[in-house]
Amino acid sequence: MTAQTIARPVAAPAFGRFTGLRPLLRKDTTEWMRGRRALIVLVITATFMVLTAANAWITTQIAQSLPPDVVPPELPGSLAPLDNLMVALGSQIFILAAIFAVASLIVRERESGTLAWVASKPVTRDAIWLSKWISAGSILAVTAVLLPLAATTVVVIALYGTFDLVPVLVVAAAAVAAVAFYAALGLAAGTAMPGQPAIVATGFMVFALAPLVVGLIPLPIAPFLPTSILAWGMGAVSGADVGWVTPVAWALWTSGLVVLAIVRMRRIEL
Amino acid sequence: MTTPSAIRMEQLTKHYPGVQALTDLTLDVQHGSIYGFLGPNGAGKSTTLKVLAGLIRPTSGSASVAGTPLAAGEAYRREVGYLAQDPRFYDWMTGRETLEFVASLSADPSARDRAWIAAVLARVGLADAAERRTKTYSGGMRQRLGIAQALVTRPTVLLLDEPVSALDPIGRREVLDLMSDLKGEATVFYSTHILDDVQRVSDDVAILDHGRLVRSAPTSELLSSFTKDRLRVSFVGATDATAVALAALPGVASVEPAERDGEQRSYLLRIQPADAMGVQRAVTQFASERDLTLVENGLVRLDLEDVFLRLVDPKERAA
Repeated sequence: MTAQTIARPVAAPAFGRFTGLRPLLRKDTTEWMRGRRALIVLVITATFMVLTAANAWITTQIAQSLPPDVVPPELPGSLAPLDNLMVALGSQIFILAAIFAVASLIVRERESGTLAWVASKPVTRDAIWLSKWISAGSILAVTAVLLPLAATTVVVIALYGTFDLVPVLVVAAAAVAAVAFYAALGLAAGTAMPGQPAIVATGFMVFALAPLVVGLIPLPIAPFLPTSILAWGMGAVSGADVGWVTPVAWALWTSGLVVLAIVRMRRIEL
Repeated sequence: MTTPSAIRMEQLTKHYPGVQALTDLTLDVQHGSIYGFLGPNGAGKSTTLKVLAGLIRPTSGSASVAGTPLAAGEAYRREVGYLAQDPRFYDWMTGRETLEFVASLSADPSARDRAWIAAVLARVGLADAAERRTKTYSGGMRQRLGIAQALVTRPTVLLLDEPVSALDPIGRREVLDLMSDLKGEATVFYSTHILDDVQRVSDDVAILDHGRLVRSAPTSELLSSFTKDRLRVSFVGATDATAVALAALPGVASVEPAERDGEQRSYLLRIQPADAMGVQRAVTQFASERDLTLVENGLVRLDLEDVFLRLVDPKERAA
């Protein structure tokens, strides 16, 4: 190699707030695709949701197969297809999967030094964080929500009969929004907390404490919480008058979390 | 109009609560040089390199590379290729993919050229391992990949943090040869505490201690400035009183007995550099007057380790 070959052609670089986002997205998405994490999320979530949806049918089959002199177990409330699909979604297993799946994304890179390595390149910290959120959100939307929901829908139709699929799309959108929020929460926590357990604990705390807080405070705050987005979707499907407060609140909370995480990301000393 | 320095640091300071990692570092690094940045553990070398790599913010002061200020963010980091002390890459990527990823972050489309990436891999001796995942790389291979990824975007400056410290002698030799090979193409600013290596490859050195710059100079100049202040003399027939008598010679600051080999005794004389010739003549006369056989009467050639110790070791400094 000569000095001539190393001389850099002068390009006019356009540096902006999201410089490097596209190649980072490509890298982060490839990492998800090559790793086992997405597959594990898919298998666990799909299995759990399918079994939850099939529970009523299985219990009914068991009850019907019992000898006449045996007292049958208490049967589930409904054998209606949409009801059982909602039960599967109501398990919120995809949220738990999201909490676990994103917990290590930033911490592991901080510990290994790859975050510092990438941050020393001509990319912005904003782009580094956003790339992780967008890739994690997208992959989890598919592997934790859409594919398991599709599998569950097929099983529900097979076991309970056909139903209108439009409500499924509404609830799927709400579930994806919930996953996006928890992914943002986990990644935001990753910019401030030292270890994976603390990040998982934060996710669980928000997941578990939100309903408790709603119950304790004698004010109707539930619609204003981002964690209510799934309940909002399920309520909308069931025909309840849910309004638009919750989606707006979800958007505001999630945006706030993203901004907070990016500000924190810019300040991390690597 | 003068060309800006490859690296310019002005009163660069980084303080943490209770720790003054770096204080008022002012340094100019010329284009194309290989600059050794020395200091004992905890001297602030890594802090300096991390500030220069844009990974931590200075408490005060400024830095620039090829005239682009550190505050310019991504535009600044475009000028810099950084290798961390213990470089880690994505272990699911191959060596080639690692370079392709780094090249994809560059604003320069020619960095993404496959032939160029292949050339860089060949240059660091990783052509055969290019399709292997980086998790299978040895420490030396990782270090060479680190240099390759720093080079692939054709930066103005390579910042290498302890590039050879963790390597075995063969790996060390390979990386040092690679660094020497870069001379004239890119400016290499690297930290180390292995002084032999600095003496071998560096054009210039800066010595840092407790976060402060102790000395910076071209390597040869630094060594010669210390060489002229120490004289080694050996006599056959010297007695215990010889050292005292030597100390009384004009221009001799102190005398330190060195080896004794049978009848031959050696002494190290600390002198004022300007008096070197005069003291050597006085020693010759001293031997003649006392009927001693003068075996050696020459300036001591110090290596960088001696110089380093004399600059940063309190005991040596006091002596």
